Order: sequence, then structure tokens, then C-alpha cells
Amino acid sequence: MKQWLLQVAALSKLSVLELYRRKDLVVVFLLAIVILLPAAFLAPFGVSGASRYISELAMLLIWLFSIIIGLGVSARLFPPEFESRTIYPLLAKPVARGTVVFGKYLGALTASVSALLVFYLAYALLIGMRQGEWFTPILFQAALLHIGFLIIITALTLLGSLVMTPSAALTLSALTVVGMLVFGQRLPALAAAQTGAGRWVLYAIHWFAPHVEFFDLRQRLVHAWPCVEWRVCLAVLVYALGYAGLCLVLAGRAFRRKRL
Amino acid sequence: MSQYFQHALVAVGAIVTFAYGQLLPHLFAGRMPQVPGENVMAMLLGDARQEISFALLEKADDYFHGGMRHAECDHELSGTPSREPENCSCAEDGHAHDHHHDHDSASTPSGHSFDPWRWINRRVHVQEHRHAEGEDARELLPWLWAACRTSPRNIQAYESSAYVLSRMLKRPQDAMTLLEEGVRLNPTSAELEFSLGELALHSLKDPARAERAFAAARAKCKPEPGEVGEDARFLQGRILFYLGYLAHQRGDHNQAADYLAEAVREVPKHVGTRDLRNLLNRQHEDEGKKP
Repeated sequence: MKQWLLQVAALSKLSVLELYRRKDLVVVFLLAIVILLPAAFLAPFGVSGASRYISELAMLLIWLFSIIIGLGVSARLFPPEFESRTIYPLLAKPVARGTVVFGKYLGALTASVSALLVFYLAYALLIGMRQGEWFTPILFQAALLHIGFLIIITALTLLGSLVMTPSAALTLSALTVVGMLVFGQRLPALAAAQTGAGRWVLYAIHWFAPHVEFFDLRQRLVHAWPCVEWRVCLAVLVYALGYAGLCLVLAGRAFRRKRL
Repeated sequence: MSQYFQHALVAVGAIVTFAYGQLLPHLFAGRMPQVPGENVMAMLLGDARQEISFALLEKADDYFHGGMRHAECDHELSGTPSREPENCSCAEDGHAHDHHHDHDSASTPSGHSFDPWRWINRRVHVQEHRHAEGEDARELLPWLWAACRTSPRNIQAYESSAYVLSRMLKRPQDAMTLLEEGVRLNPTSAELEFSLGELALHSLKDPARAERAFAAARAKCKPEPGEVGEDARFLQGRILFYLGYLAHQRGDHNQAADYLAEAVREVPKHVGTRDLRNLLNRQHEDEGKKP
């Protein structure tokens, strides 16, 4: 068990280093500052004191950047290794293929979550300075569920990168994530409004596609609504772990069957 | 050495480009494709500005409802009352309330099977709405400001912004400045003149300014025949009521009677016409009772 943990930790560390070596985080952070800084000084009609718009804009950027980082990191876990053939020395070591998949996934997740925590820390400081409210429970809950979101999308993209080309995996994952964030809540109503095959296709999407909209607490956070019940929060995190676990099992199978 | 030369070349290029940009409008005065006075937004977006402006206005409406898109609620973010007002079942108390959505039910639209995804969604995402009140209305301003700046032709954006400034934030002078800007940018809009008049009358207590604005609105309001002109006719009825009322207030009863005659001719079934008639009849009755 200790041996397995050491192997997983070593594989994870590589993925985390990869993210920070490529300076993605610095770029998106600077971009966020460039967008938010001028907006923060806006006094519409000469009236100052509004802060929700900046909060909403900041959260939108956090979500956008977390999707870009999460998908980008997990889609690049295996394809470059196949292309540069560095996967062979890795598999020549006494490491099970399932461990490689899990270790790399954990690395992608750790890298994405670490970037996310930096974003949330910056957000908390920004909002704290503007509104005087530091680290509210809803902020903690939003960050927790956002981690749940990353748990799902990194697993999904990792699975995609093993069964299709990297660009196809990235595109399909991005479409799924954005599509579900936008339409996920309304799928049953949309399905009910359809007739024939369209209805069953939408119901199938509703039942089997990843409901990433569960993790989006932006509205509650920005407009200061109360926290979600903790049992619901727990149910959503269990959903994330279950869905990611299923994706990883399938990714492990795909990797074991892959002809290298 | 060559690096210094490149830097110098870039600097010279930038200066020449800047000078050329400054010189162009003078060289081709009156022949430039841009309309004089148009800003960068107008040049970049063209007519799409109007749609973006409406989207920003909807965003402000969402903020009014605590971040919820709520088409069912009659509490609109606007100073303009709807023509057929229906009472919203929710109280004007600023508390969160719902419109009897079945929050605990996770049943499918057919109402038979349990849907866990629906159950979670209903608990994670806010289902009820609340109304922004008092200082909370500041949060609407960035979106309203953006709606006005994106498209100065969006009259509703000016009306809503003025409503928030004057009624919700108690800043009628700022609202007046904004409406005057709106009138300047939309010289044919009777709605903005009317809003200006209402603001001057109710918030600034300036009947003279209000009467000027209502008179300007009357001149600009030209309803088309048929259903197309229904909104304009409704506005005309309100304008004539205010003009008649203000004439009556300053003791010019003949002028008030003229406005009533015009209202009876143009919009006989309008509630404003009925109210103005009642007002003037009461005046006659009071005069008859005097010894």
C-alpha cells in the first residue's frame, strides 16, 4: 500500500510541476487582473458602492479559467507521452497501468485545485476589501463544490484523451461542460417539450451526462443567498466522486487495452 | 547595435502612425465613413449595440430579483406602468418569496417518477426571488449604466435607470440629468419627455418644469392608427391627464377643459381621461356650491 501511495505521489507531482512550469496560471491571473482592475473603479452615474457586478465578473472568470486549466491539464496527461514515447520507460517500471492512470489523474486534479484555490483566495481578498466580508460560509461552500466540479471534468477529459484524439477529447469535453452548465437545469423541461426521438435523446442526456451545474453556486455567492443544505452539498460531492470514479475505471480499462 | 536600431525604428513607426491618425480626419474632412461624434462602441458594434443593451437591461432586471430571471413577476424594473396591471401575488416587502413552485417535488413533468438530478438542482439553485430595495438598488446601476452607454437609443434603459436613481436611491437630480441626456440623444422620444415630466412633478416638485416636459411629450407623441399605435395612445392619455391637471392646478380652467376635450377626442376610454373629467367636474361642483 505504501509502495502504491509513493508511486501515485510521484506521478501526481509530475503533473503539478508541468502546470507551473508552463506558466498557465500566471497568464490567466494577469488576464483576470487586467479585466477586473478597471471594472473595480467604476462609479456608474456618479454613484459608488456597487460590488455584486465585480463579484459576478470575478466568479465568471474563475469558472472560465478553471475550465480552461482543468480541461487543458487533463487532456495533456497521456497524448504527449504517447507522441514522445516517454510512456515506455514509465511502463517499464513496476507500476500497474491502473496506478499510472490514477496517479496522473490525481496530479491533474491537484494542479487544477491548487490553481482554483489561488483564484478563490484572490477573490476572497477582492470581495473582502470591497464589501468587508471575509471568507463567508457560502464562499467556502462554493469553493468546495467547485473542487467537486474539477473532480468530474478532469476525470471525464482524461477518459476522453484515452479513447479519442487530444483535440477531439478537449472539444467534446468543453462542449459537454459548457452545455451542461447552461442547459443542465432545464433538460427535463426541454425534453418534455419535445416529441419523438428528440425527447428520448434529451432524457438520455439528462440521466447520463455529467450534471456539472450542480456545482455552480455563483448565484448564491454573488447575491448573498443562504448556503445550500450540507446534506445536499454532501450528495453533490458523492455524485462527483461516483461519476469521476466511473470515468477513471473506464479510463483504466481503455489504457490497459490500448496498443502502444 | 542592431537592437537599438530596431527599437528606434519601432518608436519612429509609432510616432508616424499616431501623427497619421491625427492627420487623417483633417485631410478628409467630411469624407470619413464614421458619423461625427460616434464613439468607439458605435463604430465597433453598429446595430448590435441595441441587442447588447437590452441584454444588459435584462441583467439589471435579474439583479432586481436577487439574481433570478423571473418572467412571471409583475414587479418590473421600470418607471413605466404596464397597460394592464395585474397584482402580483407576492407582497412588496423585500423578503424572499416564491410563486408557488413545487420546491419539494422532484417529479418529472408528467409527475410520476422520482428524479434525483432535479431534486438536487432545486436545492442547489435558488428557486424563489426577492426584490432589491433601498441601498441594495445600487447593485443594479452598473448594468443600467452599461445598457445606456452601449446604446443611447435604448429608451427603456434610460427610463429604468432614472426610476432606480430617483425612486429607489432618492437621487432625483441625477435622474433628471440622465433623462435630459436621454432626451438630447433621442430627440423624437415622447416617453423620455414624459418620464422627465413625471420626475419633475413627483420627485422635484417643479410643476413648471414638469409642464414644459409634458408639453414637449405631447408634441412628440403621434400615435399611429390601429393596434400599432396602442402604446402611444396610452401614453397620450397620460400626457393629456397631466397637462390638464397642471393647468387646473395653476387655475387655467379653460386650458384644462381644452386638454379634456382633446383627451375625449383622442383617447375617450383612457383612465386618465376619466380621471381628468372627474377632476374638472368636481371643480365645477365646488364652484356651484360657493355662495
